[in-house]
Amino acid sequence: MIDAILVGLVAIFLASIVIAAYRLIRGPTIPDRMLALDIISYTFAVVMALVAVLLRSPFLIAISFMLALWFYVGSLYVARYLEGGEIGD
Amino acid sequence: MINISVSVSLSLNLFEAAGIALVVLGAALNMIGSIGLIRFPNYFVRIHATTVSVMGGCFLPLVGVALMAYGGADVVTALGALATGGFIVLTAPVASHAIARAAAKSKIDRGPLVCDHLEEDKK
Repeated sequence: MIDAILVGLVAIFLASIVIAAYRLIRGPTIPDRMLALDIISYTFAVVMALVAVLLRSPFLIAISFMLALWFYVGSLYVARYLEGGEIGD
Repeated sequence: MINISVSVSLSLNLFEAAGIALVVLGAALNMIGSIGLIRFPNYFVRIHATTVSVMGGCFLPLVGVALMAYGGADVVTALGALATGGFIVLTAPVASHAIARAAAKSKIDRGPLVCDHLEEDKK
């Protein structure tokens, strides 16, 4: 029962990722693409957490933890690139 | 029909029912945010859709996953999901603010502006 609900919810989240990937491919400017990549990354963290509950495997939650922990650094680097500064100062 | 519904309600404990409710709400908010990301006209309007999608659509389901795992006696997954949600709340606004500031400095389409406090601060 709970497994069927979880599979349906994972399908909804994956459909949301596909919709956001349209903006990632199409997006006219670089900030638009980073916005879509934000949504895709954090939604993928949620999908991994749901799969960890679905398969009853605690190791899969590490993937979601690492995504949430390190993804914002990529956004900060792209922001530095857009402002024209050197990365690292 | 009544027997089926009773057996369904008995197969979930309270934590799992609350967790599934949170994850369903988060899935709806995540889908709304993604549709808004496509439909909204320019970057500075799309930030609102991203906020709905990340805060409502990723933080709430992770709290729900933590409740579900705690109800299923899987404490490691519950703590991991709670830590993931906490880090999303801490770090997603940092990244969003940095990108928005860089986008405001570069010359992209800003749509019809009502006021521009950034330009007023520069003067």
